[in-house]
Amino acid sequence: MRPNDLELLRLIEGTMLELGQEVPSAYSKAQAQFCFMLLEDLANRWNEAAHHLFHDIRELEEILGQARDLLKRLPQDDPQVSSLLQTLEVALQGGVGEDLRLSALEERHRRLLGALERLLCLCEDKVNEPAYEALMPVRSRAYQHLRREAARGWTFWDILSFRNYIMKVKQSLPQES
Amino acid sequence: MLAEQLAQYLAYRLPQASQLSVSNVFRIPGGASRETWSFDAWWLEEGRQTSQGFILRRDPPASLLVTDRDIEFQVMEMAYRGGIPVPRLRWLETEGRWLERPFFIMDRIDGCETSPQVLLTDPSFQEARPKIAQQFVAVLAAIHSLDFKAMGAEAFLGPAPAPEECAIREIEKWERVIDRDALEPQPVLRAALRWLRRHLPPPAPKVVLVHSDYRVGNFLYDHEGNIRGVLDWEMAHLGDPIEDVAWACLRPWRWAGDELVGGIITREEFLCRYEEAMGIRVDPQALHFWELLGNVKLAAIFITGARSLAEGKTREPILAMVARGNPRLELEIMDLMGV
Repeated sequence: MRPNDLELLRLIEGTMLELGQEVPSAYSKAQAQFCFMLLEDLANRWNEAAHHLFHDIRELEEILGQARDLLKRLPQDDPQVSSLLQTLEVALQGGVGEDLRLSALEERHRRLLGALERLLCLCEDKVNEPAYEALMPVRSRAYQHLRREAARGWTFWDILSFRNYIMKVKQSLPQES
Repeated sequence: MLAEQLAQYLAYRLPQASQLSVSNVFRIPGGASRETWSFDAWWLEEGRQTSQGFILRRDPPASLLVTDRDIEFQVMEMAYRGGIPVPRLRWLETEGRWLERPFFIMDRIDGCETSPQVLLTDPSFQEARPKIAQQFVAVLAAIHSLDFKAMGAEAFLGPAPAPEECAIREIEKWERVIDRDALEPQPVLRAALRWLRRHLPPPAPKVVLVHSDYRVGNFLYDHEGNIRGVLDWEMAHLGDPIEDVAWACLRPWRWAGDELVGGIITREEFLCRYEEAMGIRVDPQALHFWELLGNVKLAAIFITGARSLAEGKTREPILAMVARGNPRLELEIMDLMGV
């Protein structure tokens, strides 16, 4: 169906830009400008949102699965470890399946990210303890994943204070599929 | 409508005035936490014609920051008394009787700019920039040199923390905000909070009035290179001066996209001038700690905005805009953590 969703977004964006030039007050102009930038952000993510979520979920499942296997080898008398193991088991249940709606993918991603949050908290708490050294490769992998997620997309910060920084970050990260 | 309400309010506050009128009421863009309006008032007083430009700072429809408004007013009043360039405060109203919501009014300082972009790119400010950069440091040192005890700040800011308590107190403050407002898991911020607890800085070199949002973009400047008004005091508190120094250095305020603090001064010069003015040494470890915590704090503020949007308490697109910028802050946080 044409115009497609992306074309519609671009159309609204263009209209917002024109409206912003027509309205008289500085406040209204600024509001229109912010809406334009939000639409720009949305349009940039539109096509790739499901793709990225799908691959992020797969990578998070791998990281958390690796963490679960490593945690099983650690002394289970630490309640933080046993509780995290339970969290990981629950989070890793199921999978993406065939429901590729953004809401379903986001829900799955959120659940895995919640487990990753707890995993990183444990890693940071134990970072200097030799007994937990085996866990540290998965900590590095988790941060690498988070850096890749964070480096995506676009915000107005990029054209101001973050512009040189983002260029460097993107050059340093492996290319995404 | 607002003009009429403002005229009624000024008539109440200025009983000696006659023929009072209000005009040129317009909303100033920006200001994510509070509405900012500019207006002109004109009246006769003892037969003499008087006019004054004012700024109204009004709570948004569903403010979560009730106490912050009072603090902003009281701290600005104190700073004004202490000779810091701030607009003169007029009236504080804590109820919605006059303008539906609480607000305060201050004198407008005319002939100034606040925009970092104008400061950095407008050729007419080229000559003023070096002087503004120097004043940027001098005004910060002046704020940190205020005798807050003698000026009674503890009555509205609470008792000053001990030097060794400053850092942990701020970690806990922003962790509570994240606990309260996060709508989704925050692995980077949670990990960063743990990193911060492991890397507490040395005790504060002295306990001072911390502005807490001191940066290029939060002051009024003119073509002569003067900083004429420091703005946005709502997060002010008593604490470690390095907190403000580090905040001014944060990447989001490096408006030129390079490494210059605020886009106007090298970090070395900024620190050197500050140390000279204050007679204290900026400990690099402390600076690193506060810079990391500053990014966490900024992310926490944006998370609060995202919650307000999600709960329908506000429709300000700027809150959505800045919240979408949190991944950038997370990258910076991870860099500062060295992970």
